[in-house]
Amino acid sequence: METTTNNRAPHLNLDATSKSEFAAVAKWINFNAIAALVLLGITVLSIIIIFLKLGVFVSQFDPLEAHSTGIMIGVMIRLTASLLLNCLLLAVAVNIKKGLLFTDQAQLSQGVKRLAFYFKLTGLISIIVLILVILGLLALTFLSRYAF
Amino acid sequence: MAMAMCYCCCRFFIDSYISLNMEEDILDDHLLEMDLQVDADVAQHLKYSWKWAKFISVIMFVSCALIVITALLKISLLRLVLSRLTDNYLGLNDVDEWVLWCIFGVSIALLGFTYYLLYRFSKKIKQALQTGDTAQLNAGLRSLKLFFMIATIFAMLLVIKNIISLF
Repeated sequence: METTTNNRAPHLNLDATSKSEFAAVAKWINFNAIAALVLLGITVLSIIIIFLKLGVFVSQFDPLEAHSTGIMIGVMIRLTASLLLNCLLLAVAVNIKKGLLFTDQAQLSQGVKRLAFYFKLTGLISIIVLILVILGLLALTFLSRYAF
Repeated sequence: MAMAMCYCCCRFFIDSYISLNMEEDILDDHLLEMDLQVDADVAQHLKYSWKWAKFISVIMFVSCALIVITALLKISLLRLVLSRLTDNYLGLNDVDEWVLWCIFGVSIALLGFTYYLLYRFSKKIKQALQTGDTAQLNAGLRSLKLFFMIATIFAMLLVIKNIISLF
């Protein structure tokens, strides 16, 4: 019954306002992705500068030590995830813009598909972060109760 | 005879009017088919979008609520975290407590408002897909635009802050 209702979804045509709103969304998604990529670049640059400035620290830095390795892996995962998400956002903006410019339904569909994938990835990352926070809180509670 | 001619003329005009209207309708339909639309494919992707957007916004609302509850229950912890944040991120040292509370309140309100926009996007897109109302679709897209606008402003502020701290 529910499937039948979903299949008979009402038809929606994009009027001038919808097209202008879609164009504005694409523009701001583009700005956002570029700003985030610049931020990513500056973060990487500042990490390199910190490592270069604190040469002593680098020589003392033991990558095999569990704590240091954990921090490095955490930073690398964060940077990679950010890079992937923002490249995806750039692709969304490009597809939507092309779709509107050339009245290309396939490009528009691809853009919206990538936007859906972006939200899905962000949602999955939120779930992972939520689980890690809950595990961290549980570990803290456990340690504070039984360690001392 | 005159009646028959009148009838024929009227019939001719009515038929011409109907056929002209039909031709215009066919042309409009053809133009609509050529123009962009929310077809089954786009509707399916928009459906996934509003579902995940709603999930993300609800998670953020719950996080905001948990932060506020923790802050109210553990005021000393909040003081410590806020003073460290203001020292590290805003470059403010030894600020009054009411300033810290104001910064905390404004930050939570901004975060809540930003994710309310995402929630509004999901709500409006859902309604648009259910009712076929273009106005709802436009309202949803407007909310998404505002969401990305605020996110961009935050990203730019962070870029400026990081550039300043680099030198």
